[in-house]
Amino acid sequence: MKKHLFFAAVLFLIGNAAFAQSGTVRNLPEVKIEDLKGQKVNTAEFSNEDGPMVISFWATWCKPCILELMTIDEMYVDLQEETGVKLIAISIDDARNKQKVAPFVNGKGWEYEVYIDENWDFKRAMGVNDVPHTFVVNKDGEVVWSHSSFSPGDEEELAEVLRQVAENGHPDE
Amino acid sequence: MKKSALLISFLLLLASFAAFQGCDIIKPEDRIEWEVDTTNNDTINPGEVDSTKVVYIGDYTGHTCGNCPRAAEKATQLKGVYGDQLVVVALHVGNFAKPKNPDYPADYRTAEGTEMDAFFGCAAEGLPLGLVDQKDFSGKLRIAYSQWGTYVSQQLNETPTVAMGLKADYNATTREVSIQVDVRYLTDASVNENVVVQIIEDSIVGPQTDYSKTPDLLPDYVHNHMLQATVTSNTWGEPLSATAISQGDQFTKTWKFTLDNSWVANNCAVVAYVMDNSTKVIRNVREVEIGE
Amino acid sequence: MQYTFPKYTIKTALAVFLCFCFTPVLRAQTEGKWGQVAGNFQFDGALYYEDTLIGAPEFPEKVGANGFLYMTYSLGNFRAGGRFEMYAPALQGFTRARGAGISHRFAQYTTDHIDVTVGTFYEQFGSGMTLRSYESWGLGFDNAIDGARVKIKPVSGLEVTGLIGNQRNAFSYDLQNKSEGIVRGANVDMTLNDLIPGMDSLKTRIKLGYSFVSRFQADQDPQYVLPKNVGINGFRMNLNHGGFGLAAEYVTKVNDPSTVNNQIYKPGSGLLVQGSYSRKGLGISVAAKRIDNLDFRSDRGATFNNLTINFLPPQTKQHTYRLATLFPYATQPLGEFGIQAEVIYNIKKGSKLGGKYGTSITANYSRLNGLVKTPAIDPTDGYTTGFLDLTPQPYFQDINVEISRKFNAHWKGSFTYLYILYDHQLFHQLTGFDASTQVKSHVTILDVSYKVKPKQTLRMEFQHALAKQEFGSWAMVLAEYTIAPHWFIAAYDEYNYGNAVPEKRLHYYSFTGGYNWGQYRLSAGYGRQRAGVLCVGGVCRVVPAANGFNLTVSGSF
Repeated sequence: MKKHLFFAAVLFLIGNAAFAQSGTVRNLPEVKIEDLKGQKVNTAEFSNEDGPMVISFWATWCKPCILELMTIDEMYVDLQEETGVKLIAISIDDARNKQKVAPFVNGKGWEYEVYIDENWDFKRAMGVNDVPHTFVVNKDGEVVWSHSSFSPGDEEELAEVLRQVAENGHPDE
Repeated sequence: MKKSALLISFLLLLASFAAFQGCDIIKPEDRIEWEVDTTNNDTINPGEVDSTKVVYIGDYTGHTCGNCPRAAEKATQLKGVYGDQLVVVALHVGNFAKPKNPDYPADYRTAEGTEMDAFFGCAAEGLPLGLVDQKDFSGKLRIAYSQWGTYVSQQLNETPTVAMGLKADYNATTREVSIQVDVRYLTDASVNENVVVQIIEDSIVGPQTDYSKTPDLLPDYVHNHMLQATVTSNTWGEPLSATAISQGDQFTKTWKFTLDNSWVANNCAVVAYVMDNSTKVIRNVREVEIGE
Repeated sequence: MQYTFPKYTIKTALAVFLCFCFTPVLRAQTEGKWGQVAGNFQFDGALYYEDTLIGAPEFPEKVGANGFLYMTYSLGNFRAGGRFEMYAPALQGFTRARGAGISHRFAQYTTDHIDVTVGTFYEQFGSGMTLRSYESWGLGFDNAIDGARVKIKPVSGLEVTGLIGNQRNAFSYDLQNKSEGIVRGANVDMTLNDLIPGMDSLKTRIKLGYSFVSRFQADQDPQYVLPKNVGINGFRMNLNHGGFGLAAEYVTKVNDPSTVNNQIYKPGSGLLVQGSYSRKGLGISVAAKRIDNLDFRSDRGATFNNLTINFLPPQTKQHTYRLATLFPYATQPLGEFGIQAEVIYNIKKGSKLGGKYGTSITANYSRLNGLVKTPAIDPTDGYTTGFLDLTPQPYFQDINVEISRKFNAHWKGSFTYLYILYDHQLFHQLTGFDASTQVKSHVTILDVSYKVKPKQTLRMEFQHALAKQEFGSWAMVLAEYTIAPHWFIAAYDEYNYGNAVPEKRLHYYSFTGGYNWGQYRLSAGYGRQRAGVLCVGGVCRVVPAANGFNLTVSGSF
């Protein structure tokens, strides 16, 4: 039992030490996931020179996720013009639905970059509990904002955050 | 780097192909072995105090559990192999044992069975499951029937820690059974040692679900080794000693028990086991038929 | 003894709780090169009441709680992490009774060419039919492998994986009781376009893969001679050309008598073929699958969801609406043939049919039949069956259509219809509901949302499931009000008005409220929950009826 307590304490210390050191600056972890053609990509290499990036975790069976991506889709063109944003959708679908992801995305007519994190490596590395979970990454590759769950109206806040990030590199406090 | 990595990859691949060759494919004629020591099987006279190790299987079951007949079949098979060196008690527990109208009106549950199951957690995990000497085999306490044989044979190789004898005299007029259990310890033990005495009944005909059959309702299924009652005053038995036990200590306990009128005396048997009450692990067990 | 309540749980729980509370507080605004930490946690608690009406059993401790904290630390190419879990005691329907411990810990070193992991890890080969270890917190499922894994990528287009270890047992909250069997696996993935000169410019992309997994478990059975080393191997191919995609995998397994297959020595096999076509506004996917005696676990005595090595992807649509989940289906690993097709079509914005915002239509058909099995001459061989020897009645069939449309700036709606056929015996086994004839059900669902103000939305669901069997018809209404970005409240009532037994015509209602704060989330509720089966991604867990309060706190950092 002491072993467990010890381990918990170590986790705690590492956690806090690392936080104390790294502060709010966090980059995308280095994890390999697949694009829709099955090509491996390194998540640390996601970048957008034109503005902020939205990284949105979703699944084909997740209603709020689809609602979120459809809602953003309606304002995507305008947002892109305004902030230069790029949305990267990370599907966590497993073997049951993996082959449906490409038809789904195309069927919905989404213009997003879509990847599949079938083994949930990226999901775990980003500390995602449930989908939907959305992150905003600034031009320098720093994760500056995140939000779990989606309710209609959340897109307004996201748009606001994106405008601020496009301008200052981070959201206003 | 690249060259060595390539080399390692091919070695890994080769190893995996080799490993597939290394699979054990058992030919039909080699599948069943009967190299079981059956020499001692029918030599147990339960009345005599004897150090022979006998193994207990608690078969946790239910009449609407469609895979439970597989477990009962396994128990019968193992009885065929081990004879008197194996005692099986079937406990009807959990949701699968609830009466269900109109096809399953019987209630085979017992308060003791329910209490034991609440402790061991078989129904919660999902039936059929069994306990072998109620022992936890490095993390495996509730054991699937396909592995009962494995653990029974393992337990038979254990050095017995108690010698025991069990006598039952039945009076057909009063339906009263006089039971005597004699125990001799072959090792030292703590004060926390109990003896449990139960009545089980064979050949109870009633409905049972069996998923291997179509339709899956078998109206005339024969239920065997069914736990009917506990003779000892407590589910977990009665203490043998008021002080810590030393090697060589002997104990004799007696009970009188009247059979329920609905039971067929000729199909009933008395089961007695001695266990370490702190772990519930059964040291030794005996079974004796009643109506002879 | 595993049944006594360990005192340390409270202490460790407290330590973990403190961890949650202070970690964000201790953040400093310095930029450093000391690596970074990410993690997440979730706490689910419930207070139960006995409710004999709905069959909610007494929960002796009254309160149940599940919690975990997962953390990873990464510095350059190095990463390490772990998960702490506690059950005090576990919520109803979960098997880890009580206790707390480290259920997962690993260290990993990754470069472009090599990736070495020591400790617990998750892995999948191909479609998972040979090996898939993963976790699902909500289901209490975790079959992580504890051992070592090496991935080598010597050249672009080639990746080789080797692994060895024991699996986590679903009944332990720490790594004390791992599988008795040892799992060993190797996998190779090749992208021909990268490997073969001249192919890189081709429009068609071809990937090939092979995996082999084997389990070692000692044979101590007195009656049978059991195979100690049991192997499964799989070949697969992936082809992509423009909007077309084709994936196929064929796996075979050697003799593996187990509890699940009732101790037969028949080899197993599985075939999965999936095709897809898509262009903007249209997506089509089709799939076929045949499974024969393919249950594979790291312990031949394991049952239910425990210690599974492979994963057989279900060929059915994954439904999330409550009444659609009355009919969960799980892959039958002992024998099944399934087909599925799905079409997604987006009617263009501005067109007559599509309306101002466009309309999206999804249609899905799936059908699963059993294999007709003839007993083999040698009973240890089990049975024989032909490739297309299908049961005349399907195990399960689902035809469903979903139409969703945004009408104007305020109104949005979707309509879903399902027609389900379900083998009554299988339905009874999986859900516990009584049905003496083939289950036929029509499920209709209307889901509408109205934007009251820019950040306030009212959403309502009207659901109905029509069924003539003993468990009868159901109706359900849900109302959810959200005030973005923080608040939500929701209430629903499921009413089993058509149950054949009048006393079972019960209401199952629930009220929930919650608060979201960035990546943190808190929700609390009260309700009567029907007994049922919760399935996610093909794994199902029986959820007993419950009456009481529940609380969930989750977050990530």
